[in-house]
Amino acid sequence: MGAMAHWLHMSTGRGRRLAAYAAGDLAGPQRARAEAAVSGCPGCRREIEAHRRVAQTLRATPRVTLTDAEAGAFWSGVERRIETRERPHRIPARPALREMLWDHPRLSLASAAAAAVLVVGITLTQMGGWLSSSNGFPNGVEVVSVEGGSDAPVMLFQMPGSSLKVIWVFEEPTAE
Amino acid sequence: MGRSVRRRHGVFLSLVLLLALGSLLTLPPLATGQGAVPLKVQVIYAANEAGGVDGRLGTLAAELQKTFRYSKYELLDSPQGSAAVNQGWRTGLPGDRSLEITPTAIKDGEYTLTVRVQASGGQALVNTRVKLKAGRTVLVGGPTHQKGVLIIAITAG
Repeated sequence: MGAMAHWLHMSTGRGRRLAAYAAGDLAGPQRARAEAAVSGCPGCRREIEAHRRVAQTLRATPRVTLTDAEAGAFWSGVERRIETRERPHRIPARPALREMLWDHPRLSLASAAAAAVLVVGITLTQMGGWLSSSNGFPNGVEVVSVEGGSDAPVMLFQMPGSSLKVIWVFEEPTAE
Repeated sequence: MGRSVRRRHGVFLSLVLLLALGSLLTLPPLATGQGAVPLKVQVIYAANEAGGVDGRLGTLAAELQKTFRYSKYELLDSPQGSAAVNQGWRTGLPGDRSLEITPTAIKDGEYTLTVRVQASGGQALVNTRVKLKAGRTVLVGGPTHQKGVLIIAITAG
């Protein structure tokens, strides 16, 4: 039962409150509520004890400090180690085209990819173009031009949600 | 880089370039077949009067109801035919009007049509050029008829 209560406390976000209680950060009614919860929960008390041990351990750990001599030697030591490392080989300023395209694996792959893209682009262009079909011709209907008669103005529209394009003629009503 | 690695990349690049060249050479010729264009026209009477939606309109009925707010859609006529490029196809419309459709180009399953609706006196009500993919429909509406209007659905292919 106690284990169940502890699990419930931890699942409902009381773990953080226990940590604050262990650190002495709670006061007033919050502290009273935490004490009431802890009194009926042995697992919570163990949790608080663990928090306190961690806090004590952290407080007991000595700080790492450098002496003046160590601090003074630190950066000079870093610079010296950088200086003594082997320098990279000089890269030719203007590599030959063959070296760029043939010998370099990444450029070789990039060239292959570019060639593939070029082929696909040319293919689509020759076959009539997906681009024009998908952008300017979305519903398979394109009204290239429209003109009404002298007494019949026209309007082109398409309602939202409908795939139909409509050319509407405003004809004067006539007796039929 | 090792000689064998360079060789592998070279072979790979050569294969890709050969493949690209082969694809270009084996492309089908441009689809510019010039044949007769099947044409289907539905002449619809739309009005705000009793009558409901004509069941013969099929799937077009739902699209009409999304587009317009008439209460009645009646299929008056559904002439069909075909026309070669640059040859007109003509059909009569209610009110002694006429509809003339002339295909001007066929390319990759897309039809370019010139559509003219003429009033009874011969004057043009509308003159339009449309591109339709096979099976797609464009509407020309508005000419008055009885208490409503005519809507002409034109489908190519």
